Amino acid sequence: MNEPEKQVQKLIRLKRFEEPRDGYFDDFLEEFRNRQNEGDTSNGFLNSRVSGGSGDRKWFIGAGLAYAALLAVVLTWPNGPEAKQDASRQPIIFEPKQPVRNSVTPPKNPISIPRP
Amino acid sequence: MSSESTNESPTDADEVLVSRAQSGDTLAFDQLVVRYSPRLYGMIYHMTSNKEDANDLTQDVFAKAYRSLKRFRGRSSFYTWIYAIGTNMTLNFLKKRNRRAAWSLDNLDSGIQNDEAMVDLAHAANPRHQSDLNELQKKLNEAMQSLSNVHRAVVTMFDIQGIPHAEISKILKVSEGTVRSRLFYAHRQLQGHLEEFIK
Repeated sequence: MNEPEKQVQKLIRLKRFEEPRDGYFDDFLEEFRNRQNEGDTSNGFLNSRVSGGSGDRKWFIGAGLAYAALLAVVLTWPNGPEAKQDASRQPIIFEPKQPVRNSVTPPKNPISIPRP
Repeated sequence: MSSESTNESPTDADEVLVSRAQSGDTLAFDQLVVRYSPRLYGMIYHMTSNKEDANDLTQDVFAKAYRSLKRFRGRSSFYTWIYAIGTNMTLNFLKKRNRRAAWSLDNLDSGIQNDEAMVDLAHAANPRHQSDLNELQKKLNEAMQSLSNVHRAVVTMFDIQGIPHAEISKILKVSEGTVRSRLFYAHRQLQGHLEEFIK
């Protein structure tokens, strides 16, 4: 390990003196017991704060609205009396158009041109 | 580093406490919480740089460990096992937090500038800059936060908490070589951020 690396290590090691206040870990155990008793640990921090909070709620509301809109479309799609009426109609048949004849086809009785 | 077993009586050994906790003895698990919460909290705090996050995550780690205790077969030490849970949960948390881009550096600890040990060490580390511990601490936090999550994890465990390479490799489930190369890379990066305190 070179000298600058050793210096870096020394500096970083100073962080080990960043400790919580006195009595913090007594309170920590108390909090742990309370959480265990309340049985809310499964929905703890990660679910409530990181992934969650208002951000998740927005997603849920958005997804709910989208679902409701989709449901409304499905329910109002032609499906009632009008739809039955529509079903009783004759199906539309598309007939193929007659082919366009060549306009230069010779007439059946050709016109005779009198000779001079 | 299996446990703080040097001052333990046989009835206080991790294995005994784990076995009792597995049988439903909650007081035994409490003893494990008391034993390991400071180091686990320290690891998570240095990874997140946020006291509230560290507190809640550490709580969640012990809660998860308690729920999973029946599945603990003792293939590794309890210490390694719970540290692995803590590291995984913290890395997952940081991924989510980074995605939200909302991390905030914690306020500097009040009183640390007057901490005798801190002052002495800062002086030993670099006498020219001992007067500005506040600035140093800020820079240290910034430098740590500049690292990727996995690099910060090895620096936290090795440099700050003094966990040996072999133990870190078990916790992170990577080879010792990977731990060493991550440390090397992280130190190089930290040098760049802490240049003014090194020269």
